[in-house]
Amino acid sequence: MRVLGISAFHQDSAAALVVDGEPVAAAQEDLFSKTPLDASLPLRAARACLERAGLSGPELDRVVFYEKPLKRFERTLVDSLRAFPRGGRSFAREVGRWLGDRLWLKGRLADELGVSPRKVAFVDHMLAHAACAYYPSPFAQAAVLVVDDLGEWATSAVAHGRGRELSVLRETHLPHSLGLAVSAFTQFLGFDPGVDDGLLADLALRGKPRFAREVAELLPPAEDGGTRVAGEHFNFCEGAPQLYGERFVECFGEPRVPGSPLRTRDADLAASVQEVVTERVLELARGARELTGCDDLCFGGVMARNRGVVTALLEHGPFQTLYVPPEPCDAGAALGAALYVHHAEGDADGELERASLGHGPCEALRLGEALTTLTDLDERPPQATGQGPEALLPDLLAGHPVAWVRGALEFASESLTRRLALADPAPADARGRLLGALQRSESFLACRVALPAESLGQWVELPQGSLPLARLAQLQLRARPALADAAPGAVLPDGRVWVQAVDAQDDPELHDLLLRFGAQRGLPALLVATLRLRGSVVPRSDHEALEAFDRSGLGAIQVEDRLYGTPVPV
Amino acid sequence: MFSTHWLEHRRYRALWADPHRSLLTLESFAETEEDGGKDLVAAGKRITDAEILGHLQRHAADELRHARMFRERAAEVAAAQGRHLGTKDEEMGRAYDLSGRRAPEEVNSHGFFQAGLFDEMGEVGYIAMVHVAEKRAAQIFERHARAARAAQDPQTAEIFSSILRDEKYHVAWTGTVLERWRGEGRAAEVDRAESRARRGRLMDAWRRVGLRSASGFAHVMLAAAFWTVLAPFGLLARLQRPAAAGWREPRAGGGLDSQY
Repeated sequence: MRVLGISAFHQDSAAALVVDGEPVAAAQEDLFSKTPLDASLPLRAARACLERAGLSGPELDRVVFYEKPLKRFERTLVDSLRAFPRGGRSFAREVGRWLGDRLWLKGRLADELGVSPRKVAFVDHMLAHAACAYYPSPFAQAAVLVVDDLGEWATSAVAHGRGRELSVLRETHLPHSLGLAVSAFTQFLGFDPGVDDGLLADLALRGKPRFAREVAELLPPAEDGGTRVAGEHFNFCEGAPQLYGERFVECFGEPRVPGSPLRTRDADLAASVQEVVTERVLELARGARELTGCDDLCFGGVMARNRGVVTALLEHGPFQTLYVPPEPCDAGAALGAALYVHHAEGDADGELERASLGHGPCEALRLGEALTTLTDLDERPPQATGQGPEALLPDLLAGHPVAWVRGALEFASESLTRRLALADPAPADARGRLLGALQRSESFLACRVALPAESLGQWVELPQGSLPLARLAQLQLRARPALADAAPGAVLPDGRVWVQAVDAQDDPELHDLLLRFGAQRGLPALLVATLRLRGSVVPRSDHEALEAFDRSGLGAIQVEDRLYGTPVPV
Repeated sequence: MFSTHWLEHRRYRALWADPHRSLLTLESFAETEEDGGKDLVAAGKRITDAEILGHLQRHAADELRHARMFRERAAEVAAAQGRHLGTKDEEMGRAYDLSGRRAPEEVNSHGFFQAGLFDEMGEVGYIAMVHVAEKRAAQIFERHARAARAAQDPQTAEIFSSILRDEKYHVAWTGTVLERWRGEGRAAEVDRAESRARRGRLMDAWRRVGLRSASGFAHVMLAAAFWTVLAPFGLLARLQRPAAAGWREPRAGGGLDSQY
């Protein structure tokens, strides 16, 4: 069975192709449009997936969209009416959008992809997220917790996966959304709501949670353990330009002007939000454990990108084992929708096939492998060819951040191995220099520390079950003194590090580079960030990588076996 | 040909001698240049060729600057007539609002109104269209500069002359890129695109105005519906209890084929 999953119209639109239960290709639309977090209908990504599999539209058995459009339209209308008489402008804008395009989605998908309209299917948003988290997991039975910003009506859900079956047991509805509440705080602190929610978690590490009580009053626990949001402080009406209201401002003072210096209050507020949200997610997880009786949890939705929350779930949550997909947000939901349809309509008597992604970065990479075509750049001769990544060592040892680009791009929110910016983690200012080289002006952003998986326990405290998550860089673990002394630039203010465990089998080249660097420095660790300049998307081809390199402050770039830049003699 | 130009010169000269018509023309030029600038900004987000990107960005900045120059001149002409021009915000509220105040890329992303011609035409088609349009614009601005000078309006004539210098650069860079593509074995594709641009220029302009009007009209109608037809329902909805907090049963929906 050939199923193409599509996600669009919120953030990060994507297409994913599943053939006989196996994900064979997936891509985000922004790779093609070059607009970060592009929300448009991902037709270019869909065609790229089909091309990768050697299929044409008519050969598909199903095209599935990751939400129910009419349910979402209903919510848009009801939201606008509830906000009456406010919201006239957003009503006209949103309904105009719907009438112009989204209501005719079935016909448009059929026309653009050349499939019969009868083959176009729709899956509930929460179910698509739950499927993305459950089907690739290693569990035969598991609880699934989705904590998202918004879908049709639902904002979070508990589901139960057993074999091929996956069903949502209960959900919370708008306006009670933890994800949107975090976005409101993000906007209040002068960042892009939804887009920059990750910045809030990094900023939280720099502050103290002195507003935790006030934030908790805005996000009080519901009596039954579900989500509750003090609606009078927020404005979650679809299309509303501002997610918080006047009472919110009365609580926390004037919002930060975007671009202005960050103050202690901002970091403290971020820390308070992180603390309260983490506690609320833990409560949701306890409810999920009680409801399903499962020992294993699959976690998805926007909140699954928050490393602090994932780490707390692992360390303090009620489950023995935790799985988080490499791409738990809307892009991943395209894959989830396709997997769900495969299991719902495929051979019901067959064994559950595990979708093979997420057990290591290289397996996750497989999805995107043929999407990137590295082209020859005759007009720009490299400084050296035929060398491995060890060619970058002189620059790294001299303290220059470098870039390393190879093969296809991953289908994940962060590039773990294929589009990297690397630096020596030893200097105290290493993180700032690496971020500066990537034109990132937010000095508080965290960077990953890549360490060999086999010696990870020497450098960080490893809670039980943490290694699979660390291989996907989903945790912040407490640094042991040996690491904190040797690489102060890598340690976060709370004494933890954002860890990426590199397995020799998963990625022998990066593993080898770590060991070579360690042989010279005594610490087999590198500071790592995704090669993505501010306001740009991750480069897809070598041409784009060199363009990014030219605009960056990086010292050298290795593209496959070609070295560009100014290597420092040893 | 000579007689056509002579007639056109007479027409333009009469236009610049008439304060009311000159004001409308300046505003119209400002909108056209601004639309072009937005299109170029949107195109710049799609292009990956560093050389073309540099030209596109400079070109876009030029167009937006031209729009400002026309608008400022229009304000001066209006002030001289004792009239007050609307602010930019008020102008954006007109029924033929291009995008409902959405950023060009957002308009693009939802397909409701495709502001980025680059997506529709592809890189060769787009650059060919810009080349043809800029050539034509350079001719028109040259005539307007002469006519304005003849109509004793040296300030407006100076604006046209200044813009004309930029237009010549725009013609030159687009021409260079097209020639480069011709040299790379894409001559047939470039010729086809240029020919299509020459044929389609008027049609495209007409189509864009139509789309813009439709988008704006729908926006106005929906806003009117909100305040009239939906008002009673809105008041009823306010009486309803807010959505309950906590867990609830999933909303029953249709099967996979259902959109609800």
